[in-house]
Amino acid sequence: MRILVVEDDRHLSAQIQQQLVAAGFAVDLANDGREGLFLGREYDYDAAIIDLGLPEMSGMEVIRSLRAEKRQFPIIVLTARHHWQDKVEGLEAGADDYVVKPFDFPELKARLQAVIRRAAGFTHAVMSFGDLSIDNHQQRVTLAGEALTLTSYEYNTLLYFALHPGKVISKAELTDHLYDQDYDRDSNVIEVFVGRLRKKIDPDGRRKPISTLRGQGYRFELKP
Amino acid sequence: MSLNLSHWSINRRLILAGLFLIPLSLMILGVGYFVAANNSAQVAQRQYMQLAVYWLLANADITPEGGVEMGPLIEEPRLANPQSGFYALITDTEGTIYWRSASSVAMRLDGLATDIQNIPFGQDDYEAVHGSMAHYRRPVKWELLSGEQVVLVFHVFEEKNWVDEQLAAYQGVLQASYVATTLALIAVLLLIVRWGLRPMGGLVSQLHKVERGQARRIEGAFPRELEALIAAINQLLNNEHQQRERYRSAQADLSHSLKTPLSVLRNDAQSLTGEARQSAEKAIARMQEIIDYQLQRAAIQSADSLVKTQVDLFNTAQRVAQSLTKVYIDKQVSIRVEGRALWVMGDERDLMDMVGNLTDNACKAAVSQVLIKVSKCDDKVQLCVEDDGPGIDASMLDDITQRGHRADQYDSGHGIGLAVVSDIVSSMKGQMALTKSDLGGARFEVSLPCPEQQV
Repeated sequence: MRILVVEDDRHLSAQIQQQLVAAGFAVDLANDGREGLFLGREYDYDAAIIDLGLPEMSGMEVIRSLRAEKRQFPIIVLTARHHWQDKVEGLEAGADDYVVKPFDFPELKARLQAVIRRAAGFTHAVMSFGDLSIDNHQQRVTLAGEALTLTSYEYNTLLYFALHPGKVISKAELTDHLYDQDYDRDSNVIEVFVGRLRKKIDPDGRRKPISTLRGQGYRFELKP
Repeated sequence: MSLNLSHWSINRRLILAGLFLIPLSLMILGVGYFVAANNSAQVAQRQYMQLAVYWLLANADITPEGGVEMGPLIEEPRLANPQSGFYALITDTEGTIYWRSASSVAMRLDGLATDIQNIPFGQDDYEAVHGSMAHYRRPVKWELLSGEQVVLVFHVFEEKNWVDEQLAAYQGVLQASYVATTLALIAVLLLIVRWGLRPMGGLVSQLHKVERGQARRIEGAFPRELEALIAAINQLLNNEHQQRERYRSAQADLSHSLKTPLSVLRNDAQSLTGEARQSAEKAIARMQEIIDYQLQRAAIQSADSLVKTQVDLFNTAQRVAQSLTKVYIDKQVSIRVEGRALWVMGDERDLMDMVGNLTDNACKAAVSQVLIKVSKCDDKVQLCVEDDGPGIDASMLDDITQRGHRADQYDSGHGIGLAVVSDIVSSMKGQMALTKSDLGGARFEVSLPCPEQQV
């Protein structure tokens, strides 16, 4: 999942980036409102974390502008302000949740996962596709009740597929959403991950949950 | 008991001054008119009596025997009528009567001689009152045919009733005019005072609107004399507004400046282990609590400003409910808001903090339902926030509204939410109560004063 973090405090933004990357997210950083708005306009993020008190342009203005331009990715407001009016105005402007500073990273991560899941239309933390279950909160995948061992990238690839069932997803899109921007896009790592994933979630090859569309990409199709 | 006039209203001062000055001025004027009328009546009487003496002189003749013969006095018929009130005599300087008019038959002439002797020759005299009559007399030197000269004194008397009646009638008219004019002038004075002070009333009404939060500044057309005052008041209001905004902005900056490094510190602390981590987390939590509480308290105190606003509590509750529905969507808590638009006097941020903290607590405690009710009870606007959670013992209200005390075991929060609510309710002169909800959980009831006029 590619996350946009707009935070003016470089120490805190670096800390958030470090912890999000460690949790398997790809992260883009912006240190002021204008840069955040530019990145939000240019790229299709899975979610954004936007601080309200930003230089150049306030977080509230960034959110309003993004929503006015139909950018629908979920947004978490990060605020040091203790007034409810700021939280309510942030949510009314189009944010999906808020986290008040100082915060615990696990709380931020849990809320991030929740807004991403909800944006894809899943109301529960556990997403079920037949006998395949993905617990978004615990990052745990089971097949017919048996826990599967997935690497972080495999899990993120599966999660991205699961959050976009039925949609044709190109390799470029997968690369954009799963890896940092300096990732080598010519490599066949995606194909390798998808191949491994297929073997793990469909060991006998009967259901074929991930189909390849030649020249277009992949499609995840398993009935919930 | 001393009378402190400095607190008297301008209205009262002007009316009292008018009530004193108008009758006094008219009274002085009336006395002047009366004296003038009296003098004028006496002059007229004297002139008429002088004329009567001329008539007597024209008609009188001395007989060779030394008597006086009088021709017909057609100019003044009253002289021929007994007790007509107009009499004439001709005497010598000793008071011996030579002739008297028919009207003076029953007239008493005691002391007339004494009066006559006091008159210098050649002068007439008036006001030598003889009894209740005006008396005009004129000594005349009369040369007889024998060449001898005698001095005759011509007297004319007129009852003073005539002048008195004239004056009494005049006085009656004067008094009636005095009362009517006084009343008319007082009525005009009241109208003038009212008209003159109307702009002041308009200014006071505008100030009330500003106080009630129905206006941000004083608007409208006012007399030139008040323009400088209104400009100064508007400047003051504007300064106060800007100062409040600067204060809030400074608070937000301070909050941001303190909490952002605290976030860094908190996340860094998670890399520690054992007692060091516990100690660091405890210290960070304590710092966070102090920052939150003191900033919140400062915000409430700053809300005690010159200009207040009226806030629709129902609308505030709806906004909070809609926002928290988003936040608690995973928990699937239904947040219902019941009631109607009801306005309370206060700061919008404070009211949103109050509703937000109560509703957030209710959402955390609820199993599936939170109900917010806004209603009017007597002269209070009532806010009730209740849930279907485990509930809180009513006796704990005092404890849980203390800073740092928590009745819950939820993950987030630092136990200042209800303390902040309690401070806000106190600052707005309201009351807070904790009861058991029909839904099964806790029910927080907040009563706030209802403004005199709902927007």
